Amino acid sequence: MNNMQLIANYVPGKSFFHRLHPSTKIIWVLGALLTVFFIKDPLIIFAFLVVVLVLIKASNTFATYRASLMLLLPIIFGLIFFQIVAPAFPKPWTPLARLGPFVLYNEGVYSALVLSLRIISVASFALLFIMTTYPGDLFTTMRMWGVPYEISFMVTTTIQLIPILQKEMNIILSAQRSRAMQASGFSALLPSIIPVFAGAIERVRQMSMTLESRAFGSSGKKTSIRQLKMGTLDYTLIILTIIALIGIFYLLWINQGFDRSQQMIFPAPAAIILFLGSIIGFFGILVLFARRIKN
Amino acid sequence: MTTTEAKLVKRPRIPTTYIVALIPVAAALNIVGSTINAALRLPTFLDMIGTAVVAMTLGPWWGALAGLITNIGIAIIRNPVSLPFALCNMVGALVWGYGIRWKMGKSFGRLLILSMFVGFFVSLTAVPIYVLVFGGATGHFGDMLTATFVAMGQRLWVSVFSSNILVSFTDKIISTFVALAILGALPKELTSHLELVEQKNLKTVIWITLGIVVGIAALLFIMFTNIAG
Amino acid sequence: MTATNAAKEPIIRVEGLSFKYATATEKALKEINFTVFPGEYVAILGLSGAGKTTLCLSLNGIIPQMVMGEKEGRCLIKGQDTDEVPVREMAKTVGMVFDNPEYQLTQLTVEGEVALGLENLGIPYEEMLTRIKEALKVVGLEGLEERSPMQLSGGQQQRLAIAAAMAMYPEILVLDEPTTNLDPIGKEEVFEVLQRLNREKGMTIVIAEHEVEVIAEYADRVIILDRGELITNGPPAEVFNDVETISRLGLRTPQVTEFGYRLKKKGHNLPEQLPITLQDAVKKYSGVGGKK
Repeated sequence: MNNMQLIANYVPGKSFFHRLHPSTKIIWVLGALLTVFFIKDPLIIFAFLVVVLVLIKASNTFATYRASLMLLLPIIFGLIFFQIVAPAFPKPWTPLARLGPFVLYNEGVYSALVLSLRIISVASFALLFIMTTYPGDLFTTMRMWGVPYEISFMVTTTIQLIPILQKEMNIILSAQRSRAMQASGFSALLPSIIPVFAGAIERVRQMSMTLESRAFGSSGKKTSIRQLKMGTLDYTLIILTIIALIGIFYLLWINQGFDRSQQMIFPAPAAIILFLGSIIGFFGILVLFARRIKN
Repeated sequence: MTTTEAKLVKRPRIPTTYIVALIPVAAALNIVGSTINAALRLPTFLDMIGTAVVAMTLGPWWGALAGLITNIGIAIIRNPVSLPFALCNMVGALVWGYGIRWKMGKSFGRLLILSMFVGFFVSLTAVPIYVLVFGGATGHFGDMLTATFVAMGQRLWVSVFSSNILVSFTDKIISTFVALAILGALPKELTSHLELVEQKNLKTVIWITLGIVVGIAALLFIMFTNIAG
Repeated sequence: MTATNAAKEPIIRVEGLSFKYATATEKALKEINFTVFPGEYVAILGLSGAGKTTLCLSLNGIIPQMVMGEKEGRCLIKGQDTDEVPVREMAKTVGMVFDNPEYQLTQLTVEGEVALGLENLGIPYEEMLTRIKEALKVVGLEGLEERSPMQLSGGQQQRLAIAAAMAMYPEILVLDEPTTNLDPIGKEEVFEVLQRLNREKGMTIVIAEHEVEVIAEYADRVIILDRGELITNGPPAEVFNDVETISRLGLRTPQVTEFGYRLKKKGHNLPEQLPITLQDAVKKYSGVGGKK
């Protein structure tokens, strides 16, 4: 059950992306999110994805990125399957082929491409941000933006607690397994949650006493150990980003999101291959995960 | 003993630090629960048990905060794409929290109804996200059910909602009763003000859940066959 | 000591303090009375269940504010009642170190852990850096600033907890069995740190401990608790010389005292006041039994 360990995504480094202020990166991620969700041309989104991949490579975070992206695959396969038979575009749809009860549509292939590329590219860009930002800096930024101290504290503590709870849960699960009980399914898992939580409560009690004893939540001005300064580069980039976003949205508005679903015609075999591929992929991943857990 | 109990009730409020510390434990439990759920391929989510505990003990809005923090945590350690689902976790917390306040926890039957309400409202929030952002896919076993409904000639969002509500009912009923069992193990300071039914054997709950879900699934199948036919 | 104390106001004044946990049937503390003066190093001795932890938690208001139960009597810190001042405000005066180190660490890095209290006090950045560096040096954790507290050994974690408490420069530092999880070397290190804080910074120290040898060596005063009652309160030399009382309570005296006590019983001619530390013993026992 070792592979159940969670992936901590921060990759230490000194690349260009690492050195940017979290605020700048957050604005970029939000900008990219907005833009990509209004673009309807798969080629433009694909071009954006390529740029993001180059940036990831340049930040030396590719290995972590790949592992994280794996978790998205089942949903991507599911998405392709559903979109081909039920496109997220207004009717009428052009049928390409028929497989049993499912009709594959041209708009469906188009929409599958747009939606999956959207998710992958936004996820990639957001991951790039997470991978190059020290979690502590993220919390300092949250506080800089006026998020209450308690909130950022709770997020930090949550992340600290995850491996601890995970470890305790694994111990209980493997103890049950060694007693020749089946350590899978609800009947093993659910009862194990209760002692883990109750144990965590003792931790909480002591933690809350510690917090109070460290003057947490006391009156008066607060300071911070993480000194984050917005550099000239950050300000320049933010201003440029805002100007670029205005330009992009003007173009998107003029061109109606570059919708080319009526111009792009896919051959029927391509649709069939993509459709069957999504089914094989979906089950393949489930089997793969299952095998990794057994080992 | 009676004097002690009188004192327990009189206790004016839970110290802030208790809140500040209980919420991270709940959020961490949510995250670990969802990881294990995915690893064991269970037909649930198990990502809201902690939320339920907080919503029941501290109140709906603290529960919502636990839900939000759960998804921020997932975004940081796993993948930011799931951030929109913070909304579902928060909606669940509100229904649980207000439900318990409106005495929906007083009997087994009421609690069962409350958990189905939670499932319904969470699905109502989740389905638009699944359909608009993820094209109807969840990356979960429920997708096979959705595919079956689509094959039966249903519209995508109807299919997603139908399969999601089945998973959601299963998940929320189980989560509610696991949360109830956790409440029994919590220090009395946190739970003495609640009017709650005795905790139930979890095996019984699982069987009841199975009964309810299979019933609804059968109903849906009959309905869809008739509409399609 | 008594001469100077007469002029000073006590920094801790405990008056008729009793406490019963909500879940318990018997009182954990019964009618406790004592005072502590600024700069004193006071050790609380007792078997487990004697009320040491309860007493420590009362000194900054965690009891009764965060633990449910029935409290009687008063506990005044610099004249302020712990019932009335919130723990988080009292924390500016009273630092706390608990017995389980793992549960006291909440931050992502060692540096952040020490910084937490300082951030809450609003200490300016530059001074924060100096204090963190100093605190980590005192507890011997320099160079581990960026490490996660979870990766430290039990002993290191406990020293980190002490560093976090002492960096806040509290006037009083209360420690509840801080060395339970430490190896002998770790224990020695902690006690040396505490002595330095006491002697050099004049920090008042109240420590619950069961290692009598270290108490004998470092403490100015010993308070013995037994089943919630205060049995003795006096300088270690006096307290540990009452060997009968101490062994009746199931506690130990320092081995050198015990040694002298047994010799005395066998009729050896030893000084009225038995030594309580090894150094003292070497001085007082030399000559006993004659030289070759």
